[in-house]
Amino acid sequence: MSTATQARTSHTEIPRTTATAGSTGQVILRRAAGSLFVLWAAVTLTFFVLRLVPGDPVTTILGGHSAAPSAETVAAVEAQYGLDQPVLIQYVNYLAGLATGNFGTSYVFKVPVLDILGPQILPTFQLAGLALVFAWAIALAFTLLTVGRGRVLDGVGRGIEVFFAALPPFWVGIMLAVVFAVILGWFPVAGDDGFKSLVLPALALGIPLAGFIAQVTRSSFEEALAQPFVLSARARGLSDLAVRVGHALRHAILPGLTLSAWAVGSLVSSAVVAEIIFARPGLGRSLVDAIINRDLPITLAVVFIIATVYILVNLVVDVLYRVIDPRTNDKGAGA
Amino acid sequence: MTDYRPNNDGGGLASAVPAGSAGEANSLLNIEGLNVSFATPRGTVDVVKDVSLALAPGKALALVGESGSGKTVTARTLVGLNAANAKVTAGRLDVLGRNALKLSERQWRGLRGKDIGYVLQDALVSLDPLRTVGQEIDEALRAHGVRGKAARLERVHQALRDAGIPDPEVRAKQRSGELSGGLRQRALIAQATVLNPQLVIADEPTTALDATVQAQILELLAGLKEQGRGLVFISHDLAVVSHLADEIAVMQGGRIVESGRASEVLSNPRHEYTQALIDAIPSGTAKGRRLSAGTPVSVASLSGGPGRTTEFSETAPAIVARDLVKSYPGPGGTRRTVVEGVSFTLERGKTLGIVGESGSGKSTTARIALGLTQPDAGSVTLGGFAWSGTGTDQVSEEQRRRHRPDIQLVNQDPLSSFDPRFSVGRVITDALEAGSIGTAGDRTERAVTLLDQVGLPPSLFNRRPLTLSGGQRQRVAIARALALQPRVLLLDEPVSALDVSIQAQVLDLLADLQSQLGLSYLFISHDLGVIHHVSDDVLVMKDGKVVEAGTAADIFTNPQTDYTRQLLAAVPELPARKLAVKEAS
Repeated sequence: MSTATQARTSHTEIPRTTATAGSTGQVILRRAAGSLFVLWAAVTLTFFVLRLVPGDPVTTILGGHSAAPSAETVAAVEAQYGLDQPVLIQYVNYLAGLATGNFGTSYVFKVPVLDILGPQILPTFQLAGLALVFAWAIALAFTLLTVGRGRVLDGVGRGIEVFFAALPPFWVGIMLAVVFAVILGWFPVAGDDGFKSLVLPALALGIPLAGFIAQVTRSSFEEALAQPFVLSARARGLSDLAVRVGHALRHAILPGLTLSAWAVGSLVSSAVVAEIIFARPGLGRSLVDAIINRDLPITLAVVFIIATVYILVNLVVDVLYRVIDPRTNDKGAGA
Repeated sequence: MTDYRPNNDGGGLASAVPAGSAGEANSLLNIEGLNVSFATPRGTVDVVKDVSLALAPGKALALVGESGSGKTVTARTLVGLNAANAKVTAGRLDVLGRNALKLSERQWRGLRGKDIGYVLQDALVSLDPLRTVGQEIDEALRAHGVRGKAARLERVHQALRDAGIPDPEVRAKQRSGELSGGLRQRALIAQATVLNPQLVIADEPTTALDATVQAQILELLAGLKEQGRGLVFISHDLAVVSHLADEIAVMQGGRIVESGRASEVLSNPRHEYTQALIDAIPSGTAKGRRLSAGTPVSVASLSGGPGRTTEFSETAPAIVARDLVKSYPGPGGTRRTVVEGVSFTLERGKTLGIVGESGSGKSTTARIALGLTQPDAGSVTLGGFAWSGTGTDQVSEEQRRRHRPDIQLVNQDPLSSFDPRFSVGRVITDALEAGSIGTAGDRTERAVTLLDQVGLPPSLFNRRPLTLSGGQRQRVAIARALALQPRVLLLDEPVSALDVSIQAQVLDLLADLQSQLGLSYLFISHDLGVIHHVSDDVLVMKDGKVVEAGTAADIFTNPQTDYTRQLLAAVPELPARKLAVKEAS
């Protein structure tokens, strides 16, 4: 590594001042510290913004406007949920609770938040994960099969990608449900009944995402195929497929990987569309319900979970990026 | 076949005999009437026309010619790796005794890497930057069914060792980006020759390498030849060719205009194009001899009109640099000294050549001379006034600014220093405007005059730099530098990216401009041949220090240090040129 840095600096003769990077372990540590800050910021922002939403939490707790509770009941509820204290104190109490894993009590269901959300987390992660797998599988299939295979295939691939990227997930969901569940009956129409019921909702989310990923992957794959090292590889006697899989693909997935980090975060929150169409349990659904019902503790907890997922996925992508492109480790190593 | 003139009166050479008689069983290449054309949306383009070649084992055939002459397409045809839209026809296309016109892709794959090794030009981009060189070599072994991980690893190490790479166990685990230029090129050769192919094709294997590294790579290739392999290599540099080739085929516009035994072609060229290529070689020729056939440019037309006032002294030297030191922070809190105690004087109207290999500190020295980098110690005067220094001699950028037009820069790659959306005319009028030279009305006229000065027609005024050839771009860069009526030009590797024949034209242009405008040149290059040709005085740099300084004649005929001698020994020269010099003296 030091030879590389020396060679590079002595060649360009420009001082390298970027003080980032270091070993993968260091990067993870630094990222973890930063992540705590991001989580704190997300929770804080959501906490105070939700207080600005019109409407009184006590009314929600007592079952809406029609309940018309007495002053004593209101006072009792306020005391029970700590709502009689100043907002700042409530905030500090909430943070303290978070630190011990206590997300508070749902206003609507009157039970601890985790009791409600706990069972929702896994289905959503399964859905988002499978959607991502589908998206990558479709994107890579298009890239490997159509890029650089003549003008017709190239054009067809490109066209389908744009079409996919332009599709709204809810429409894809309805179409898939009609064709594969109602007409053909291959998959269940709705519900949460094992892998089979996961396929259609995951496709609904994965197909538009595949369009986005494939567009990025296509252009970097095209670029990689034009590089001299590809010619070198072919001159070693490699088949076209071996060159594509062994060389070009590795270069091509890097930008798609960055895009995926963003995609996973948004998949968890946009999963609600698929969850509602296919009547599945999930975090997205819980979030929508909680917002409509002004169930602040649940809303906050979902935001917290999505932020955590987002951070973790970005960390994983960062590490993966270094595995795929070892040059990332060199950069700034000598600074 | 009218242009094909076999120059084989040297007699008795197997491979210069036009194909047909090469029924010999061991002929590696036997090609007659090869045509390659490309189908494009705008019609068919013929790139290779009626080319005939032959090659016997243990011989080296050089394809020579400038960019676009069809050398590379010819070479790729020999491994079946032309683009999909290429159409190959030939009277005869025998590669390793097999009819290549009838080979399927699968059969080609069996030959590539195993029987034919193909070495591309720039190892930095010709080896996968994400993989180790060991993996790249191993891939060739696996592709041809070599079994056993341990056995393959041993062969990987052996291939690296054969290519002259020390510590192959360590190097195999490094990526091309982690290796120096020379090791990288060796690794590239190793991955192409690990299976001991009978035929090795190398496309510009030494271009862009430092002279000493180039000499090592040429030696390595000569070693392959001695092992009995056939070598086809491409070069635009006849001096390089003369060291390796047994046969030469000179290509121009897709045709072979002359071919024959190397010594014959080089010492007794029959085609004017071959003669022009030989004349274009700058090495071993002192300043003053023209390298190209073009007529000298005349710059008399520019002398009139409102110019720029300057305080540039008519008596003091153009640049005096004293004891320059520059260091940068290195790893672990250390400091890396890039320039250490460098002093030089550039006399008015003369050329000072700075030569050194990558990392010798010549670019940093140039940046200090330009006033772009502040030295840690030392001082620079430009045309008699203080230009850069430290402590009490410190010169602020504000003080420097009004003198900036006096010194201008021409880079190696002008394209990256042009705004791609600007036209050629805009590139130059912009420079005029920045220097407040001329009035808004007459800047266009001035720009056309400047283009004329560098030998470009006015018709290029509205073209984009991207659509110009490398030589034309470099001329535009020179015109832009001249726009501010400078007294000193800093030329940083100005011809390193150009073909020899284009390089010759640009060097001639620079010589004309210097004699007519009285310009002083600070000329930086890694190419000793170029430095010898352009310089009055020479500075040899290594590791940030001046190793040797003196007049060009002294340095090149009577070098005082081992390092300079070593550099000079590595410069490839034409045997014919040596002969001619001897006769003249």
